[in-house]
Amino acid sequence: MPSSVLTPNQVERCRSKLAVFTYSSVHSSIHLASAFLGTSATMILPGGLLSAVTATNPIMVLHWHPNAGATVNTQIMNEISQCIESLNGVKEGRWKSVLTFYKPITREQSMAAEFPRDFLGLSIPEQSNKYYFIIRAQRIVLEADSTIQTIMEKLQSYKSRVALNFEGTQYRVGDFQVRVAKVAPSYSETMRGIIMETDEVLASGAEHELQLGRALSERVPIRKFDKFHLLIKPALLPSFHGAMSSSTAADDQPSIPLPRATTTHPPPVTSAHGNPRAPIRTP
Amino acid sequence: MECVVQGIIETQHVEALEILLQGLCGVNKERLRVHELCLKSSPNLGFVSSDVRLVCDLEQPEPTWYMHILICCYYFSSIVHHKFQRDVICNPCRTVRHIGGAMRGAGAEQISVLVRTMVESKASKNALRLFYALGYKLDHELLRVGSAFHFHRGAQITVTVSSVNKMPKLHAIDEAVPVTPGIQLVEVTAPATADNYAEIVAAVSSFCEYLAPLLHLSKPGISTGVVPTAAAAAASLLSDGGGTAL
Repeated sequence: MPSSVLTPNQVERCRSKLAVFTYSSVHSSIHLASAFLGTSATMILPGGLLSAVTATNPIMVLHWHPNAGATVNTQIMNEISQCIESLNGVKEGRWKSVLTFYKPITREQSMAAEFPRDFLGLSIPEQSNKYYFIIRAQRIVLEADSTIQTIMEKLQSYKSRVALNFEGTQYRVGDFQVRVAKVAPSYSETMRGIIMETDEVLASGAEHELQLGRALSERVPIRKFDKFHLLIKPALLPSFHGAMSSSTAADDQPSIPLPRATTTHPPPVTSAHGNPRAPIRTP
Repeated sequence: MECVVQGIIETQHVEALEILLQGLCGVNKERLRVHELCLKSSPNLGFVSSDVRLVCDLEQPEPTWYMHILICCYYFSSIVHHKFQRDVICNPCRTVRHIGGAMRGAGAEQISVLVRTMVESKASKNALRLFYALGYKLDHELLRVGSAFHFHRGAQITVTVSSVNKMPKLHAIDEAVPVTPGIQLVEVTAPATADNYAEIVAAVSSFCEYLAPLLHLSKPGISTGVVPTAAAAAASLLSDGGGTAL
């Protein structure tokens, strides 16, 4: 699995440029406070996976691509947590999830090709009595009682190939819920990566979700950055498709005017909208 | 785990049976309308073939906005009513059920109730699509229509009286026809664990004795046919509404 380490400069950039979307229920608009993130961290989980099953609101998943040869460790996770806390993030508690990769049981190896290779199982703390089966390529997400795992074991048609444990902390940052967790295989305590997930928390329900959805689809285009992808995958917005394809396009110039600011977060650094390869001066 | 016995009864005696059950259980019958899809793994999947059932309770559709429109439109157009009724029926609750092997050994042979492993899980309505994607195929499907009684009598017991129907075309519920016209299946089940199955078996066996004049209940797969006293017992029940003990 890819891994990386953040240099102190990159950590500083991360802290000053953490992407935060704030939603104003009064103005029904979206203000993009800043939109650039440091280029080094590790993302193992396919980003939209948790979002598809956990989000009842639009969520944002950030993919980081690592620097070659770097390693990930607890210190990086601590620094990321400090980033979040510096944005007035409030700890809400521990967060844990388990992702299982299944593989088909076949008499011969060659037969396995007939069956899906991306069959996953997921448990999340918000729904402790539920379990989710996912076939990514076919965009199938099944929600079932947790006893479905027992059924799958008894069927003896698929078995667990590897399970990943996500353990970390959940924060509340303004209108958003942010989770930071270390990723480790179930058979080892060795940290293999870090996941960071943000989720919009709307108090007003469906009406504001629809407003947010319309605002997103009309105003915020899918952005592609040099080293990472900004992915918005709303769960309940049928008019919006946030999936992105892998690309190395370097155009960061926003093509839409930002609505009026109603945020208490630090103002964006203008250089964030320039060439991401250029050095960025921290405030 | 669950304890199970089955028996058959002629359709003409079902009304009498339901009167008896209502008297014994102290509960009203519930409508039963279940679409059961039996899936089997494809030949190359697993070392041995595996079966799983998808049970759709057609009497309990998921609450959707279709329901509200159904209620409103009912008063305006019968055509719209039928359209949305179909939409509602297409969104029932799903249960994934795996029935495992029966308990074996000398002890199991001595008891008249089948004890077997059974695991159920409620699931979202795309369960069939998931299992198709995993390599399962539809082996057969059935529609059970009848009534169910849920009560506690030494154990949490469920009695279902239903006609088993087959569909001439795929998922054609409206065109289902009885597999055995004139005969209905009676099934008595009770959940059990490895620790209490003996008590559950005793409770089920005891309850089945009350039904003996109308039908004989035994382990699934062991057919005993209809009982000769069924007609007389049914007549007795219908004549006095079940007030006379059989």
